[in-house]
Amino acid sequence: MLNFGGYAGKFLRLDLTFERLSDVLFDEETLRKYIGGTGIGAKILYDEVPPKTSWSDPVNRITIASGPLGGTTIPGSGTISLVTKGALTNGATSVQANGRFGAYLKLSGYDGIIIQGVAKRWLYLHIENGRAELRNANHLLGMNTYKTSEAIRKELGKKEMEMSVLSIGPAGENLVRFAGVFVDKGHSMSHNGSGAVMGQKKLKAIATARGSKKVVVKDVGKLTNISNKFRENTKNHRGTIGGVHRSQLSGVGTLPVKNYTTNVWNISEEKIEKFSEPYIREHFEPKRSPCWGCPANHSTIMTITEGPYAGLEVEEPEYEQMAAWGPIIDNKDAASAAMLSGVTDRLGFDNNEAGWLVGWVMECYEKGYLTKEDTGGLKMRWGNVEAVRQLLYMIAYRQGFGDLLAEGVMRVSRRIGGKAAECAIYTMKGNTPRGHDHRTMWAELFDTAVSSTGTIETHRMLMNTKEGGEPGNPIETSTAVALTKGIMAFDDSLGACRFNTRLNTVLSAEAVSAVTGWDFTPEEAKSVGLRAVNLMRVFNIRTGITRELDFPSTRYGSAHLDGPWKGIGIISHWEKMLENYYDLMGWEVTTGKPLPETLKNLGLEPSIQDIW
Amino acid sequence: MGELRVIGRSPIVMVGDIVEGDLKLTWRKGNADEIDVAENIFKEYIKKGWLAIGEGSGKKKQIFTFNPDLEKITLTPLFMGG
Repeated sequence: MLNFGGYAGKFLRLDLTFERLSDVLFDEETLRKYIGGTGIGAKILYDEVPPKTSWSDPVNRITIASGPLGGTTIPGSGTISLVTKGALTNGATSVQANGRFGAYLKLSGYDGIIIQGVAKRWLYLHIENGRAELRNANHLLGMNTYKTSEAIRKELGKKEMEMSVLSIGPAGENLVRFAGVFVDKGHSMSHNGSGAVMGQKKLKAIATARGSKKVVVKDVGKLTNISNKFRENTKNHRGTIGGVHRSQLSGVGTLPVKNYTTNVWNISEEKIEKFSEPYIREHFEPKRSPCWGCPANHSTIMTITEGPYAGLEVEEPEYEQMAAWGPIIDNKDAASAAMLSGVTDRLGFDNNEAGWLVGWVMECYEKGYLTKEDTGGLKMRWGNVEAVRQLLYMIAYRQGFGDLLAEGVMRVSRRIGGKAAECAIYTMKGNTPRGHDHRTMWAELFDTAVSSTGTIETHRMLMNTKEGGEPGNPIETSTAVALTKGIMAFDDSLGACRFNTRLNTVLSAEAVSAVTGWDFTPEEAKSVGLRAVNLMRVFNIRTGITRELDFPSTRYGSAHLDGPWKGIGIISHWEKMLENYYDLMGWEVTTGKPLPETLKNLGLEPSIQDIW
Repeated sequence: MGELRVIGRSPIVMVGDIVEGDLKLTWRKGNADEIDVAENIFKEYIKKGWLAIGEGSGKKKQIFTFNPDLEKITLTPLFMGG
């Protein structure tokens, strides 16, 4: 029996090579230092995956964990974080999915799951009320993520709200480098090829029943007050689905259009209106499918009601999905953008990487760098939705041209080479950005390029457009990225959704205190986050990912060709931004290595000898 | 002289929490009334989850408690996006 609250008290270790299950216990000091989710995942990755190990090596780990707030009255506390060595960057990865899985896992008696080894046959893991078993998954092979969830629930005799299932689709089975892991219908943990790692291990799914255990909360009254405050943040939240519409109307040039070949999207008023949140909610028959305890009008299952794809059910797309399948590929039909989002979720890969990949193919096709002979007969013209749909299947099953594309934007563009390579949008580590024109969002571009995880590590968009006629002051921008590091990593360690916590470190630290009974301060919270950030940085450095890769590709860092920021680019400022960022992070300016003093201050002394 | 500045502009927020306008507040070292006003404003924004960056001797850093000895405090919301 633990003398502090918030934790189930054990992690489940799954060794697929030997089909062996065991419990792992962490002491109070370790839990307080790493909290859960991303924090504890970073520790396990660092401790258990040796340097120079490939993402596809059996020794690679996948940690899927909730945190101390998981399964409590905090709204949206079904969130989980997944940490592994990813297939795109071959470096650290931290991705999150909301939904119910994290809460169900806690109520079934586990704080998290550590997965290692490679199975000899396809398996899935079933967890229920403190018991775990491995089951044959051969009959699930080839099933998309939606069908896999349904098939497992049916097999185990569970209704939708009685069991949460995370799974990979055909893309993960076929080791598409940007395959993701999907929870129930459409909650994705898809950056940096987490699904490819799961596929490599021959683990098709994890199903956890809604257990009957309780999360011990030390101060129920205090937690209730905090939960109510978080609920205030979210009760009017209507998701990000209308983001394309809002961005287009704002006219500030953040919408990613035609693979960055332009910053201006020529779309009629009538068509852009159909990308608006009110229009989609009114016309696409949304049915609520809420995350754990969340009041937001956000997570819904929708049915497309117009156009050639009418009748298809899709999980409510987020902004990034609508951006990927709208402006990036110059598709002006919102219904078919939602269709492509649903297809991508079902096949099981990352909408962002897939969108940039298709955008790149379309630009190359337009310019003649790729022809119909290269694409297997597909006419990859801008906005050709049906060709995109077919191409997505070819990628997921690694058929023909799709097999090449399954390696992701950086690798395929380098392989094609020549002028085609110059059109590709990616970071030099090998991941693609989120679905914005980051050339207008310098903080997020910089963060994406210097991140250790294959996606953003902070959330602050400094847009001081009144200074210098640029989308940001370069030094202020890199300062903002440095000073906000750690906030998101802490938040991703809690087991709660960011749309509820809103990255409010002060309130979240209070919630941790209320749940655990610790006197947990915001300063301690910040240290938890910075510990994870620095640990993943050291992990990457010792695996060979160094300063030289903290850069965007030529196109990603290019200047705008038109629009409100015509002629302006970030790259001439990059070295100074990088030096300023490293300095503020406590990293050596010439190498980007965390200084021994920085690591010591975070209690990471054992890692010093790995890089110094 | 200490300075407290609230920055809040972003035209690209996805979830509706747009905040506009700046607030610049100064206090004189040792002036208890002015410090009190600045501290109360600081606490109000910190409770809402805003980011506070302190500047004085040494590097800029995120702070959670008001320190009248700092030369400048900047407050800004953390923007969320899709």
